[in-house]
Amino acid sequence: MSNERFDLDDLMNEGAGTPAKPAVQTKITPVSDKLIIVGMLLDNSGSISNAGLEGMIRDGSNTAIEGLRGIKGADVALDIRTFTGQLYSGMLKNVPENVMSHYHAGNNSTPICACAIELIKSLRQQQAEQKAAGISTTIAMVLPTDGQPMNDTATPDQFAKLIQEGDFIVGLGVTQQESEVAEYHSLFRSMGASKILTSKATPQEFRRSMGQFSRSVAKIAG
Amino acid sequence: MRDYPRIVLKTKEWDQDKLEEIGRGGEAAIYKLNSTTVVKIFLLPDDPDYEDVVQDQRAALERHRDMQTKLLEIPEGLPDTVVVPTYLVENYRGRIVGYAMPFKNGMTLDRFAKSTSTMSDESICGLLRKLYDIVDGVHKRGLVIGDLNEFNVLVCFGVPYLIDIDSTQFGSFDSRAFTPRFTDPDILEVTVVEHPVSTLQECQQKVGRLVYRILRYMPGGLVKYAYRALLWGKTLPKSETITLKKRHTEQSDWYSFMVIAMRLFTYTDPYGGTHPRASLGMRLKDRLTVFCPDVIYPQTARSLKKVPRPLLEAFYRMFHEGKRFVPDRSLFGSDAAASASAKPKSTKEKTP
Repeated sequence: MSNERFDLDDLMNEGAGTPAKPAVQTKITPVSDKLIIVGMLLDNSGSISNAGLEGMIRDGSNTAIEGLRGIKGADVALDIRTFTGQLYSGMLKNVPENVMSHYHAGNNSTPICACAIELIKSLRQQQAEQKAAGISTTIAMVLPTDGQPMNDTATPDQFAKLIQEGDFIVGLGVTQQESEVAEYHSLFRSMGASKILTSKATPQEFRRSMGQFSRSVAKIAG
Repeated sequence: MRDYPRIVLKTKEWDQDKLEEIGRGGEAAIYKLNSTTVVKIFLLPDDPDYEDVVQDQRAALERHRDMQTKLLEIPEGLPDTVVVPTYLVENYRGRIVGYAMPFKNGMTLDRFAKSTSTMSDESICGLLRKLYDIVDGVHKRGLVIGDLNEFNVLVCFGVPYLIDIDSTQFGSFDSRAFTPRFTDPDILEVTVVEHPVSTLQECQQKVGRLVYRILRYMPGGLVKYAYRALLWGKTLPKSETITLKKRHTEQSDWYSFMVIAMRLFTYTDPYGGTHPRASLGMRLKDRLTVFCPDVIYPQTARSLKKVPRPLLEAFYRMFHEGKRFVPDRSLFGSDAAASASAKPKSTKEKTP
């Protein structure tokens, strides 16, 4: 496409370089021209509380949140959910310090796929709104879980179909025994995850994995 | 060859937890050693961050290999505002694993610009003049910056400092690092795998390209239709990769410098905003810049009409027309800032 002869003023008169009109009023209000929407779907099934892992999930999630603050070149919006409800939705800079204190496990099912579908649809909606405002937006999701789907109303491939080019989906399996590693790989592969992590059920290991997720997101932001 | 004093890490597993990590990128982590010094330690190929990414592991290995000699050969006589190593950091085997440098308590250029959103055009020009002198100064010493972007420039008390000297290019040492939005698309390769197209879509693409070629020579009113014709037959990519095709050059440094200048003035870059149908790779390939009317200009950005006119024309020539040149330093003079508030030129006037 060489020898362009478009005139600068003609293009400006066509509306080039004029900021888009304000998008629909949402809680997502970036100041940068690039945005990363991060979705965290935290497993809050009974197995988490039975194994006494609630503290580990809270701690690891806080590590991820802190890690996301180091992202350069883009603003970050965050949507933190469990299988039973939303803990936070809005810009990262406005996340309350005690956000993870509202996390409690004890749910009697593990509907990972159905909840992940609901989450990605919501993130996609936010992405569309930002795109209309000229904000280049990337979706990143982390799905930490300590078990396979149970009483799930959706299948992994239904989630996989909703993934688009540029999305960054990380599956994070918490293992009690080595044999579970292969099962998590199989689950997250069928869900179309971009990256699969496994972590032993210890606070240090889980923190390390959640930190790794944040750093990977930071990489795609650049 | 430079001769540095050395810091030797005595233990096999250096206990980095004892030091405050103040930054981490794709290549290294930065730790604060004391109030005046920081240490940059390159990530090892087996770092968890590179898990399952063979490409990154290989790059880390090459980086470690290069650093054994590269850091010793950094040219002397660089401007004072280039942050150079003060010590080399060796592991217990005598391999260089990083380096120490002075701690600059500042902000990267992107954060600085965000934190001072009310910065006047005059202050922006002042900052850019100083950065211009750094780029010019390092070129004179035979060094190409390569990955010049707003994250590799620290601003302390209004003075820009160039960091990441280890990723620069000189002598036989290439710079493999790049940031797509800041890198000259002429040295990039975009591999786009498009969705399989039907014969009908193929015809549509050909017709679109033909109409585009005809319309782009027509007077202004038809401009937007030319772009629409080009994109009419395009399909969204299934996947795309952006890689470095050629070596960085002084000219590509000036391209990156102009992107920084554009970001400071407008809070967006030549490929900022969104396009209804084209991904970043496709936009880089087809030069669909923010000057293209079909690009939705970011709501958060400052209108291009508010950019000083001579500078706007330079952006247009470099980014949209694809011309390559060393920008004139006078573009960032006080006159440029003053012209921002002046009346815009007649729409009939042609670009020089």
